[in-house]
Amino acid sequence: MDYHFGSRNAEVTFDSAYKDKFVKKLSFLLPPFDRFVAKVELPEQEPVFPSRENEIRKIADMIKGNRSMIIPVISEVGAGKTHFLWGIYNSFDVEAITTFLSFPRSKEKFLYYLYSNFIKQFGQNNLRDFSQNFGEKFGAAERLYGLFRTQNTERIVISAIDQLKDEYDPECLEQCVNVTIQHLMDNDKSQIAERWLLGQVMDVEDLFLINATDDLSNECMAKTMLKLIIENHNEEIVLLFDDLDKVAKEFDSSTVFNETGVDVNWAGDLEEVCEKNSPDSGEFALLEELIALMKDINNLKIVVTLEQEESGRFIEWLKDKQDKCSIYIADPIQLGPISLKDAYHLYFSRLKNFCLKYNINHPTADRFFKPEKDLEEYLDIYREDLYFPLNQEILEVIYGITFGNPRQILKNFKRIFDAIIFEEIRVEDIKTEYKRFLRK
Amino acid sequence: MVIEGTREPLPSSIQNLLLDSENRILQTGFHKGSIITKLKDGQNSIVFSDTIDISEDLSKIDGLKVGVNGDLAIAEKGVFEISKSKILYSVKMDKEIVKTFDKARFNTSFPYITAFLHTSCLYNYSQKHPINHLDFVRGEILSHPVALLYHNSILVGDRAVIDDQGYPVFYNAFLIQRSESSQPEELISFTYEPIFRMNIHFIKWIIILGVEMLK
Repeated sequence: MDYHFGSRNAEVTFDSAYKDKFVKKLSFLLPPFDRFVAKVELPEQEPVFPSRENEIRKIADMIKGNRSMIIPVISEVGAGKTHFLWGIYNSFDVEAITTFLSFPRSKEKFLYYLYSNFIKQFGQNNLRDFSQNFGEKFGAAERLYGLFRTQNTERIVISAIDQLKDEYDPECLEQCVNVTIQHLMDNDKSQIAERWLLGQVMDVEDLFLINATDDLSNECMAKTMLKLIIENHNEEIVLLFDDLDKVAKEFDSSTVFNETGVDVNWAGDLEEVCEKNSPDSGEFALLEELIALMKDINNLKIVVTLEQEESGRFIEWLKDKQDKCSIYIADPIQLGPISLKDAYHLYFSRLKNFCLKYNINHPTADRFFKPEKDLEEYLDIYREDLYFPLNQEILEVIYGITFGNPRQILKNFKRIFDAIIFEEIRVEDIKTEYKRFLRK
Repeated sequence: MVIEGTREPLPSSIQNLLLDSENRILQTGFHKGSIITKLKDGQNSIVFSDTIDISEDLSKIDGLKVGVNGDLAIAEKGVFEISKSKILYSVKMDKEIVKTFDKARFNTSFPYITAFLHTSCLYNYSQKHPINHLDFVRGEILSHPVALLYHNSILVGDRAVIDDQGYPVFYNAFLIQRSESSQPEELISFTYEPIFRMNIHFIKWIIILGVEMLK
């Protein structure tokens, strides 16, 4: 059957010639279902599944309070935990600065790793906003003679230290405040101060110029700066961590110290010559570090993902900690199987993005087409061709055998598409032979 | 008088003009805000303050006075008691302009700004003591410039650069212009100028405020 498609007003037909072209192009372009795993390192543009939008709104409400908290997100393997975290990261409902971080893999330079990872995501603009808000909070906004901003950096530094000294390490606080105020007010030193705040390792000359003795590779300094930013930024900050259980198992809790108690093996290559000290070995060592940090930093909000199988022990451990300290452990958000509607959404949105990216004609390649809203309307127009090269029955069978696991659904889509690409099956025969390529 | 090339002046209400000795305007009382007072002394001084207490004879200002004395810039902070006859005019700046002026500060996209420690005179048009250091600082970004223009208008900027032709360009600036209109509400006008380039012939003096004065 021939009919018009492309956009609601376009006069293009999706006849057998276009179908052939579609199949041909599949063979030399990056197919739509090749990526079936979300990664921390790869920004995810695909929206969260419609049935999970409520969970994101729930998290958005939770983080509005003024207390430190851990929000665990639990699901089976491949159920879309990482994708869900990207959903939080991209969501407009979450009124906070979200940073997607990876856990430090060892205790050595734990805080520096965390800080430098955080500040990279936090970004230069947010850092400048922070310096401005921080300075203004302690007197930089004062107008002299009704017009001019004060240039008295010393007074602002002293005022900030006076007000914050009870909750911070005094020596680190002095340096962190001093550099932050220079970043805001001292044009000559602002760039060096910014490099310091971005966590770069500095040489002695640069440190001398900004009146600092250490850079943020000093653990105490990194912790102080992280605390300053999280507690004094005018927006909430949420840290998103993926796969807590996996990293916790691999976490190296050993630290090598020299005679003076200074960690000398932060690069991890001196184990033969130095004594090894591992006070917190075991899978909870990473969580111990995290909880210790949360005790020091008020208003630190963390979302972590855990696999269903491993989650029980971790949640129990966390709840036990909650009773002993003031950190709130939220009830875990359970990500169940996606709905059939979500599976349709997944198929059509991938297909649509693929067609739009490579300018391929297909009924889904209509920029007005929104799978979550317009499916019925478009099915009335295009019928089975909307699903081309699959069909509704195949989608339902795949959904059924994978029990709504999105990774398995994508893998099965990929298998059939691969079969078409490598000519193991003709498009006309898919309806009868697709089952050969499915895996539970 | 409205200097050509400037933007449309904001309608200024009579309330902003606190004192004008030439037009017999005197709003007695204690005023707060961003107040700029032009004096009628030999130094062509300007006083910046956040308050002014105006009575029938004397005005009390706690602020920063800048001007040119001979071939030297003067900058003095303190409380000044000035008789009415010594004040040319005193204005309270439009709040919106001050807000915009304030917002555009601390712009880190201008990292290499030269801030002088002490107040210095960059340019003074005078028969006896002419000063012209514009060539010396050509191309430099200078912080906190203030200029007195002809007809006693005042230009205050956050930054200034002397361009290739030797003309000063003020960035993030505002201009207070005097008018010869007979309508009281048109006697003074304020305009915010993100970039303002001016022919040097319109300028009486340019002073760069020193950081020490702003501590």
